[in-house]
Amino acid sequence: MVMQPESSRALSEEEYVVQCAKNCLEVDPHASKAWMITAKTLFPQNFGVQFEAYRIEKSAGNVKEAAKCFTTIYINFPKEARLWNEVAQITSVLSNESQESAFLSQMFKNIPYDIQLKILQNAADRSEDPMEHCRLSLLLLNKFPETAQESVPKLVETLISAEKHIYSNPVNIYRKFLVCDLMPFLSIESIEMSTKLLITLLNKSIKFYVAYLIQKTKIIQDLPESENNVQNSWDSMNKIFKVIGTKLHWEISNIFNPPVNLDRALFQLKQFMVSVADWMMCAEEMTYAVTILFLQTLHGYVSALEAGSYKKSELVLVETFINEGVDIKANVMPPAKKMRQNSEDEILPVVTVVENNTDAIEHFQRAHKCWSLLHRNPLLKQEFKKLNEGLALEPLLGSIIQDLALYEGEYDEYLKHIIGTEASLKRSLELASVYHGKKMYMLSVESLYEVVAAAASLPSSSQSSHPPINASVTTRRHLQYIPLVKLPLIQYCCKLLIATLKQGVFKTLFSNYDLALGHLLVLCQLDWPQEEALVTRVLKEIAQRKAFAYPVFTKYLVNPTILEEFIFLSTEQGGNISLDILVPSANQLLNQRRMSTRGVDKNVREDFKLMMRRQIARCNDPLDSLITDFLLSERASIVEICYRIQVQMSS
Amino acid sequence: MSVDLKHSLRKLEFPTCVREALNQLEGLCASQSVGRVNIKQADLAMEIIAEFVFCETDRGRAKKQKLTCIQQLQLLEVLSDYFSYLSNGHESARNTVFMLLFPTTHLERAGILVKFVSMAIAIKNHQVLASTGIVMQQVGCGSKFSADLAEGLVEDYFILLPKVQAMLDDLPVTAPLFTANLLTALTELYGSIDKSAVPENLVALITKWLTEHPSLCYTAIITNLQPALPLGGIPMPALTPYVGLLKWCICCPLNNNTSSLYSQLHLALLQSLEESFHSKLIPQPRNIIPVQILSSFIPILVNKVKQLSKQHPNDSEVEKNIQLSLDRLAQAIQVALATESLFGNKEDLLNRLEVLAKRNRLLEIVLKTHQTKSFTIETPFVYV
Repeated sequence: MVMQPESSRALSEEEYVVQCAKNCLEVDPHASKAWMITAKTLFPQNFGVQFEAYRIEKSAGNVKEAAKCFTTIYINFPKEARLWNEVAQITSVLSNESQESAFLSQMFKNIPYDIQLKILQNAADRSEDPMEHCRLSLLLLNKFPETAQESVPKLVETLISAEKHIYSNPVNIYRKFLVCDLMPFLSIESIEMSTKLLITLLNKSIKFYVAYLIQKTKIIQDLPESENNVQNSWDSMNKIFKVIGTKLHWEISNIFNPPVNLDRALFQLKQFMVSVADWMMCAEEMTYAVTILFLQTLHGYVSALEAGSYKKSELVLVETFINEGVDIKANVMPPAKKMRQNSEDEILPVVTVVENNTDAIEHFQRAHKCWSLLHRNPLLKQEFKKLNEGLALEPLLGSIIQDLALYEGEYDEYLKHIIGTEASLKRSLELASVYHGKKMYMLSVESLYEVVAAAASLPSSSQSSHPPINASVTTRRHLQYIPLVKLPLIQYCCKLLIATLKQGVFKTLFSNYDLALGHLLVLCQLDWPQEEALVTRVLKEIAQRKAFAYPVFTKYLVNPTILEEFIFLSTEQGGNISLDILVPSANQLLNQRRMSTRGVDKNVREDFKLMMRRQIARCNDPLDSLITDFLLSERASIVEICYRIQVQMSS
Repeated sequence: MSVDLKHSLRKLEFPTCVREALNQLEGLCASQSVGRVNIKQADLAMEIIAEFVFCETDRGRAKKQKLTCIQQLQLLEVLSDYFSYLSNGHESARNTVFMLLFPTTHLERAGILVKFVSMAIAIKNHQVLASTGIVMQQVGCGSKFSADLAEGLVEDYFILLPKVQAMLDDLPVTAPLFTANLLTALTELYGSIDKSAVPENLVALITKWLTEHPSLCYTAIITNLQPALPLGGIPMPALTPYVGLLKWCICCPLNNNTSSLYSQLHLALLQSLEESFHSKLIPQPRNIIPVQILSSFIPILVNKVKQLSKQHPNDSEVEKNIQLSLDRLAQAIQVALATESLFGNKEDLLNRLEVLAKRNRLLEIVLKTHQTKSFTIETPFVYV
């Protein structure tokens, strides 16, 4: 406890007293403290002694005493580097909420409030690195919100200019600080900002959230992952709209108040639109509100499609031509009695998707309503155009704008979007669909064959795993999301071809007419018995013509019901129809003999029955492969028939 | 009138007569505090107290049989009730009655006062304790009255009763002035340098009090007694227990007691001085420790150290204890000087310390610092 006078003489006075404190730290901490108090009062001007006192308290874990020592040092030695090293450690602990219980954090709480404030202010002012400066300023703001009025405008300026110099990607650390950490403070009424700056901040926020939410990885450039506390939702963006909208005295600044209901918001916006007296005054706020709503919906739409996609495959929206002859633009005349709003819904097509992904459809329809709002009013349209350019939304919108054009039946607009994209299975599918819609059957078939070729190389799936392309009986147009998977693709191609062939048959005769009828029957086999009515019509047509020649009959017709009908047609009751179909047996193939029901040879009749039985036995063959084979092998005749139909239509 | 009063009181049984006597006393004191002191009335009050409260005399003069233990207890209950129900606005009346009941000259009542205060501590009767604290200060914490009371409390109460510690823990909160003056009285009681007989658990209790309530030591200084005294009463200057308690810490190693308890007490005293430095309630000029008391202690200490060195030459253990003692002295003087707690002729104190400074480095450093200090201009330093 006590040093021998001889050895102690080697130490300076300061060293001696501090050494005495250290010597008895373990044995008698109270005595050690008494020494330290003595040292502190003896050498008040000596930083080393004061700092040592602090270190002893710190190592002993005495929060209050350490805080006292630290305060003394801060007030009396504000320029000491070791003090600022300590401050740096404190600020790093304070910024990390998980370290709340850490000694330094607790110590900081025991420092007098005004000194705490000064320490953080000084620390921020001292930091030369702009990122560190911003970090510390934010920390100061969070710990002392009362400084907001003064510091927020400054910090906004600093962050905007710092970002401008370094980053082009909106998802960067400065933007995160600005949007996520600083914007909430704008709710403080006394903070004043120019309208121009507020709009800039709103734009920057929208850009940040859109980019962040849409990007796959949740990485913010230069922000350590541990500090990424950005919520993966639009709540924060909605709050920013409220905060900035309130500052700008926007009437609809409360539209996204929690709990956010997008449909309710949309409804309120529509009502607001109806009530608006002066459009010039509120076009801007309307545009922002609808755009934010639209972007949320778009994000919800994209996410829902991703989450609900079939077998992890991309979904492509196409027209399903179930009800031919329906006028695309106005398939239902709105009855005069009905309300306008209802009629609007009725003109629009039905949209369906595999596996009940109703979320995606709801988002899609809401997106359409937003889009209509933004484009129906010329002022809004103009404002949105400006905003769209300012925010560079175009790349994000691409796919949905195209789908919205399809939804509205604007085929030319839709085509414009597709033409610009790169060749892909999706593009071929879309082209096949839209060309058919435009009654450009040759072009449609050309694209259709690109789809078939691509689908043929995809892996086969079990037949029962995919429901048939929806066949709701309605007079409205029908759009459907098709997954880029083999079976649904082939199903869709069949539907498209059936629809095309139906345009030609039953009207006028043309060469290859029998072939067209035969092809229809083959195509109807997939998704049986969806097209049973059509099959009945074809068979009736054959019965009327009294003869039917179809060389690939035995190759592709395996449906027992259809085959039974043909057996009946060949009988006397059935009308003794003359059937000219190729016999597939090896023996007969060699002789190139045609199987015919005409002729008197009894054996031949027996052969026909045998052959039919053999066909029926094949009824469990995988139909998707059979039909794919059919489409590929019969390409020439199919294209030719389509050509005939095209010619016939245009004449 | 006085005859009538006594006559009617005599008709009452004990302890009813006590209660009634107290009520009459309050009337007498109230009139006294408004106007001049009436000696006749004071005499009457004394007579009433002797005959009807403590039942010491019968019909004025004759000695009476002492009260039984049960009767004493009944008396204490009535007194205790009386003081706690006396409304707060009448603080000076309460203290006047208290002083009449327990005059410093009345040695026989000292015993019953110890019991009365013990009871007040136990039932947390803060009014009684406040009055006791004031009376102690008015008659002097070093007086025989205060010393007897302190000793009585320690011997009859603090030491005897088991688990008493927990009950005493919050005494500084219940009765700050009483506790502070009791401390000072205790330092007078155990003030001799050779006496190492301060009971260990008393030291532990005091250490705990000071550690938890650093302001306790200067409570008497910051308490204004004037409103609590009878009209025209002069508050006596307050004393602090600092020097007395520091002496315990400095002397105990010389009596070969190196218990860490005293390290803790010593630290609590230094921290208390630090806290006093920031208290805005302490009147200027700060007279927390009169230098004179400290100065007069130095020659005694010098002798003791000399004597020890002579008796145990080259005994490293004794030398170590001497150094511990001198280190504590030096620390105390340093912190007292730095916190501007000393009042009086500091130079004299420093000069007296020179002998000891030759054999202790810290003392040497402290002396060097302060003997030159008066000539240099201090740069401002904020001491937290």
